Amino acid sequence: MMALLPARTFRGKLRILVIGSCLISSLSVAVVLIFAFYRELEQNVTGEYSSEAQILSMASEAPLRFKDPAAGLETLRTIDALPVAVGAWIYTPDDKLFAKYEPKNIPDVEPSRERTRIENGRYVVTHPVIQDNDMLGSLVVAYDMAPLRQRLRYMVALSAILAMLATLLAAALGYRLQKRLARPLSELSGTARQVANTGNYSLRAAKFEPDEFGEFTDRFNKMLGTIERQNHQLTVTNEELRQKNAEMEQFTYTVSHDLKNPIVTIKGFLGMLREDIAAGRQEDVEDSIAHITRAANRMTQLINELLELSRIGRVVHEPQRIDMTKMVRELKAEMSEQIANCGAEVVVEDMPPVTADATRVRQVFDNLLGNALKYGCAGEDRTVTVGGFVRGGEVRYFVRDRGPGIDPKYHQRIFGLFQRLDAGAEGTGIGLAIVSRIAETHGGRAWVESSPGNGATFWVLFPDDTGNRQHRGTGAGSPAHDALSAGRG
Amino acid sequence: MTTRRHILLLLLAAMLPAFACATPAAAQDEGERLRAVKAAFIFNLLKFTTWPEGTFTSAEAPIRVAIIGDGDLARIMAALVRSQTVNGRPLIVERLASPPHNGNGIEPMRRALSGFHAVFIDDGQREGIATILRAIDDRPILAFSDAEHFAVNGGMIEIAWSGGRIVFEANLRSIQQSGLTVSSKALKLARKVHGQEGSP
Repeated sequence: MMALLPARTFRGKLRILVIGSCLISSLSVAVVLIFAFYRELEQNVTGEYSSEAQILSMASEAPLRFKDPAAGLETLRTIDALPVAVGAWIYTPDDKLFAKYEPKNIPDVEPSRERTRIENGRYVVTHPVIQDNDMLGSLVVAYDMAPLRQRLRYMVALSAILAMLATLLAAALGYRLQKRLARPLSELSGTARQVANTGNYSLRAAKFEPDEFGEFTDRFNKMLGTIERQNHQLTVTNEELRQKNAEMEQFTYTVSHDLKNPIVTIKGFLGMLREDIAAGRQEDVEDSIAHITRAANRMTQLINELLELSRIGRVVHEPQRIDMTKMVRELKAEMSEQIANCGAEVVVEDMPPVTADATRVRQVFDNLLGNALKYGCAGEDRTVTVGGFVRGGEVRYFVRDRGPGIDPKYHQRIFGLFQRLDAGAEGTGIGLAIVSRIAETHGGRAWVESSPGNGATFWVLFPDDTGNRQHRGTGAGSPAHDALSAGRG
Repeated sequence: MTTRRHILLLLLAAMLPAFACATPAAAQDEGERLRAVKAAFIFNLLKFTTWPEGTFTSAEAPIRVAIIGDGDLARIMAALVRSQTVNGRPLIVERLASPPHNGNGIEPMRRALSGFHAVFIDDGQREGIATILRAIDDRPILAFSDAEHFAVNGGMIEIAWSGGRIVFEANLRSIQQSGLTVSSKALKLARKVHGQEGSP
């Protein structure tokens, strides 16, 4: 079957299987039916004809006994009542014709030892005529086989039609089943092909029934989901990496540039120092040494703060519950001299607590407060407000000043490394970078809201305080994690 | 092969006229042939006859046939049936004397017929037929005769000749009254059956 009709698809194979098995079973049934019909017919006919012949033979006893062929003919005439019989003959024991009746004008049929035989397309029954143990002769009746053949043909035709109908019915049924069976497979293979061609992992195969195919579809879809998620992660991570790389380049550039400045200063004043010493200008010597010292100090400070920045990711403290209000008040106390110097007023509002790395959080507020005092205490209003609240599962803190404000085009840049708006101002330009970095390592972020002349509000956001959020482990080495956290922030 | 011998005998009987023509005693031989046919007919009809239960003393008890008035027939028939049986019974053929014609013969005839199962009365004895029939008196003895009107007049089987062939008439009422049964297969061959329902 398979060799005769090569099927390339599972569906085709299934169809061949269904129709083939239907055909085979129907044909078997038809053959058995025909055989059974034939046997039944044969037995019926044999029995029928034999009993007819027996009755005729009994009626032939007296004519034979009394040697009355006319009476024999009368007896034979009764076959007119039998529609299929075409002739009858009575023979004496020595096989001499005694009487005959053949209305269809057929040649004489001889008696035989066989009770029944088929001769010249006729069914011939030979029956002995025996009375009182005397063999009186034999009776021969010939039957037309045409009606018999007709009946057989009818049976064969009927069986064939039945087999055909059964096959058609079964095939129709099988076709539906086959469609149902093959549907999930073609759906799966179609989806797989589409995914392979387009690389679109968001596609899913439709599930039809909770059978093995259904389970397979579920697993296939789950696999697609995993790939899709990982693919997305990979894309995000790649972008993150690219950014980090760019940052790193920038960092290297700015670090080398900023570190170079003091060294250029030191080298310049060292040359001047040599000249001053040779010329014996004591005053200038002192001045040069002071410049060199300042440059060296500045470099030390730069290096220390860079070290600190690098520590944020590397050195990790256990997160703990921080009473933010208390901590900021302590900071305020520590900075009282600075506050007094610039004539500012620091208002600390009640703030919600947060679970985080206490040392780092302290650094955040140290930097933000320091910045506010440094840049925000320029106008009439020198109020600096520190506050915080919980919103949408996030804890937000702010430090607000009433200073000159920051142009929106710098809002991003000020969180970068060595970015100072005022070139003449003190500081290394690392502070806000540290703030931003700490917020990020906690899964939060930092930003500024400000416009020139309206002061500036620096925001720091930490994720949900109530959740058992794990503090970042080796956060610096896990950019993917950073990205995810940033996404949540 | 009793049947074959029987048939052969009948065939020989049928061929007798040919020899009869060739011999001087032709008339005598013609008589012999007709007697042989007659004997065969009587024997054949006995084959289709059933006697009432209790008629025979045993299963092998013989069937006794009386011949009245034709000694030659008795001789020929005795020879014919010597080794034949009817339903397993042998046949015995005997010649009986005809009764006296004075009307006092009924009782002796009755005694003479006791023990017989069939009787043939020759046409020459037609004077005694009435006496013989009365002597039979409903006993199961199948009565044959070649006398004319035998069947109509209360006899059972009347043998006649027609176109050189033997034919017969039967009186069903007489047969039934005697307790005998003659198969309808045989009666179907009768030229006429008297004493049927709806017939005189």
